[in-house]
Amino acid sequence: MKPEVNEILTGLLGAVITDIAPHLPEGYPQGSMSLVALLMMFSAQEYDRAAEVRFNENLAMRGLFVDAARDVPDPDLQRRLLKAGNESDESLLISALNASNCELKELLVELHLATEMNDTPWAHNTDELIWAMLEEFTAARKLDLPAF
Amino acid sequence: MSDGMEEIATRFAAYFAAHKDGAANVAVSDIMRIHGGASRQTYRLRVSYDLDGAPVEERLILRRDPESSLIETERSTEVDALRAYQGSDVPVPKIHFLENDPKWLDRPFFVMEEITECAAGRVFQPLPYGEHRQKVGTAFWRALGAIHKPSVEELGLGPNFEVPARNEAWHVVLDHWERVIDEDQLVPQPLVRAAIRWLRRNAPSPATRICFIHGDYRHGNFLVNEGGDICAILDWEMCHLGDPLEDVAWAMDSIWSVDGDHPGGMIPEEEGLALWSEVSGLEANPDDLLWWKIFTAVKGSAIWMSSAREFADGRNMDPVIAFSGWYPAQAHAEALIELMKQARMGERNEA
Repeated sequence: MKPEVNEILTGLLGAVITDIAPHLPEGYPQGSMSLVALLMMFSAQEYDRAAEVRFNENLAMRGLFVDAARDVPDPDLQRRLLKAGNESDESLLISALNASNCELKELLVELHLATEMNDTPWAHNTDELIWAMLEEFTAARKLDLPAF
Repeated sequence: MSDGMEEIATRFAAYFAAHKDGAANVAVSDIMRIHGGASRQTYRLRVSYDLDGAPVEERLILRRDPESSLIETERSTEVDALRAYQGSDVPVPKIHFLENDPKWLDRPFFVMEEITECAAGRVFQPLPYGEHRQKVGTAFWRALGAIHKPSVEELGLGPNFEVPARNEAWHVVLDHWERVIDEDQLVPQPLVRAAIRWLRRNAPSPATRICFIHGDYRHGNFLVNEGGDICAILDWEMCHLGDPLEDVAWAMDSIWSVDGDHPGGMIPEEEGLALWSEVSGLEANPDDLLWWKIFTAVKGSAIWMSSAREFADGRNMDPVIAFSGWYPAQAHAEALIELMKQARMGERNEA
């Protein structure tokens, strides 16, 4: 459909700020409408990138799991890392990507804990990789706030 | 006045008449809901009455528990804090009533004076205090020192406040906020969990002294007049006893202002710290301060997770709840990444 969802949200944002909010009672109603406008802006930012952010996170985690599984000391964790690492996202629905993302992040927490409990080159290297990954994940979800 | 506001006005007028000694012909007007933090519903109102035959008018702030609350604290704790600092160097509103019986307004509430001709600085706005940034910043940090200066005994607090041991203060609050995360997270939190594990592995020094902790002392939670004077410190609902560095780190948190080097858009961090130290008589070890800054990001993250949970569960659909669960959560994630880089760099240098 045209216009796209983010274009609709951004376009309506102007109407909310200039045509609707000023006519509301001061205080709570105006303040709330300002927050609604901000949330519309964030939603517009998120709409375009949401699938890519989640798909890329999932891909990165799976790649890490396959590499890390080679030397992880716990055989059960190794098995689960390999299983998860060799799966892939068949659906690009946000809900499906989120479900995978949650499962993978639970495993990431376990893997990270395992690196902290071992004093080996594998553990140190994997720990560094995880921190770099967490930094990338965080940066990819950054929200732009308008200039006030 | 909307039906909802009219009902609150009528019911509060009945409460006021029943509890204000000697008041007659009580009327409530100009009631409106305002934003006053995400954890309680806040209303501004005017109450008029006769007292000993003379007309009296007061402007009040009513804070009522919502049906679900972001921060599960007793409102009596917040009221105790405000009463403890009445008449001190810490400007606080005067408390008029604390009511726990839900029969009056369906949920517990408290009432304090409205501080007029003052406003809170707008969060996320560049230079929120304009030409007064130096004056406001100086007062802000000195007031925090004044909060931490009195001993627990001097404050005369009631049984609501548990006194942690100096070497346990960090543990108590970290345990608390980790429990909140365990209960409220909607999705796994690899970054925050890693930070928590680091905090536990690298305990800070014991608190120099157990102090009264505001719990949410920051830009946006105090009122300033046009001359740059701080009129009142607000939002004491997360107050408790603990390590004063918890408040110091929270006040320094970069997420409340677009100018990260000047917390809250006021004065540089080092200058603020020196003022706090001068008034409180306390010092801040840099390593401990880093610990508490990381803790601040974890605590903030926990609060935003609770917000997101409330909205997702449909318990509180206020736009501020939705906003809280998203933007500040992301901001604290970014802050935590940078803080953990500093922390891990320090570990590597020591190794």
